[in-house]
Amino acid sequence: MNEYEATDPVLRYDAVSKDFGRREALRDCSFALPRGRVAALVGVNGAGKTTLLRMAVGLARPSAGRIDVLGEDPAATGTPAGVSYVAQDKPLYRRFQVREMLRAAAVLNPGGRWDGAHAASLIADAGIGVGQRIGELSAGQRARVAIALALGRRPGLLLLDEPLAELDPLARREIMGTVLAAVTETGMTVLLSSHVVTDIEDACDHLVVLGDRRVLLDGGIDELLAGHRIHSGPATSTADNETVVHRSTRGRHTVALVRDHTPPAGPEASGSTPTLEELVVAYLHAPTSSDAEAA
Amino acid sequence: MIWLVWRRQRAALLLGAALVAVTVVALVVARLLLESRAASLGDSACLTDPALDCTGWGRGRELYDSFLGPHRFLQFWVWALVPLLGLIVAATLFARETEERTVGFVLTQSVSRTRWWTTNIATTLLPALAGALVLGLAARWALAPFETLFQQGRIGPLGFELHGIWLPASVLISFSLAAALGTWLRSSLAVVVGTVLGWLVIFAVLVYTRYDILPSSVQIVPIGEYDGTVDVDGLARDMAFRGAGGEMIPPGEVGAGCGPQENYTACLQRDGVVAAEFEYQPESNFWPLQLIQSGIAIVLSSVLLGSSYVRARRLG
Repeated sequence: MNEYEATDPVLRYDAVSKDFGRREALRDCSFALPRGRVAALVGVNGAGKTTLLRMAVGLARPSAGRIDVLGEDPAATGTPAGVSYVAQDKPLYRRFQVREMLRAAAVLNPGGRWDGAHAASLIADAGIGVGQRIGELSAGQRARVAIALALGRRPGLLLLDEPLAELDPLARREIMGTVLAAVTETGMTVLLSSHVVTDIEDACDHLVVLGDRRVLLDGGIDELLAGHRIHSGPATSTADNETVVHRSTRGRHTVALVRDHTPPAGPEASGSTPTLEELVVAYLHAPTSSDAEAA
Repeated sequence: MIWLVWRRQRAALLLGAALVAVTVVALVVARLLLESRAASLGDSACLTDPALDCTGWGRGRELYDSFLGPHRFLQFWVWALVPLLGLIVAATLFARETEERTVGFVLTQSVSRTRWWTTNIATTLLPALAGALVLGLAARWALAPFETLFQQGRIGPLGFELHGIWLPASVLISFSLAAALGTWLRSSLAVVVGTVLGWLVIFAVLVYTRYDILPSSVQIVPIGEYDGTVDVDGLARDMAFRGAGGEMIPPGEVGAGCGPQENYTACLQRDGVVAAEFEYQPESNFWPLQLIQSGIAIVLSSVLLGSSYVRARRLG
């Protein structure tokens, strides 16, 4: 029986680990994504973002822990009906015409959930003819078709793996515009991965930072920014080490991102709210558990 | 879902159908040409009467010589085409999905992996089996007068493969191999190579063991009645001479001193031979062997398809 409630997080990772043979890809990852959020999953290349997303749609299985997606366990049930996923390489049948891709999506989504007219209108809005072959489309056009097919499933949760990678600035704006319009229209939840913070900072209101195979930070972006401070001052300033996320020192000057608002002592000390990029970069540069183990 | 598999595999299925159609036409034309030529030579009885020996010198020999090559080629072509059908329709079935990563698209839609796998298999295996059936029926009809002319039984190599239920079993093995390898390998080329090699190994093992599965029959001919040849109702496998004490005398050890004008039988008798013994696999074992070998093929194919299903459950 599905006991999923509308107020529950649409996506929850509970102590999820993933091993590929002897290689540990993710370790003890936990976070929850509230309904209606547009969340960014940020991490360096190879951090495990794709693995984390693939596990949410049943394309990979956790080695430990549990994932709850709209009240279902994708490892057991496969992709839940209310979820759409667009992989980084936008896998579509290259020999098909666009109209055939639409038909393929229709036959793969029986039972009335598929909104072919909506998907077709999104494709038409992108100026893509239904008679064009997928293999002849540009990267941006293929991304538009892939996202149109994903939105045609009328998802409650949309998972996008690096949706803006390899796209030109105009295509990036158009893709994000399409996604945000759908969010406005339906109130769906979005989790999109990226390793470029500037790509997503205007669109997202929730952040998950992945590094060292673990979730380093997650929460609403406004709350996270308000909960951190950039302190800069002389290298001798004494910020509380327990609250320092990352400190960089150049010569006699040091800049530190700290978790609270308390400014360090000293006449030259100053504090400011970090930008999203400063926050993410500080966490990604922070000493990791691997470093500690190595030390 | 069937439409999607058809659309993806359309080129392969149409290629298979075209090969079957061309082969059926070639078989029909070959029979018509043989019958026409036999009629013009007045040798039509050679095509209908198995007791008539048309392999000797004379008009029958002309018919024999003219059509032996085409007959061998057609037999070989049908034998090779049937497993090729399975390879053609199944080589890209799963391999291309993983190769081009479209499996990640299909498996994140609203169809279960079981339904995806089953529809893929059914939509391509059934046409391949139908193609093998059509080829088998066409070959049986078209090659029947050739077999009478060339006095070829069903139990020998090639005859065995083109009769009975071996053709569907053959296509089943190649299809299952390609489908199974397609779920494990991410390259269509590797699947093609693996399937060809795998099928050849399996076929070689089956042929090598075929005539030892059931006991052979033995026909003993008194040496006085032996004229150098003997007709056995089946596939001759071995022969030996027996001496008066029942001891075996290898053929290479007798007849060496026979003169060119000497009666061969008398010469053998002089060397102590009292009987010629022929070991053969009788025609009556045709259906038991068909059932055994096809059964092995079906079990093997089931294992291969099962492994494909298990692997498909974990694809991503």
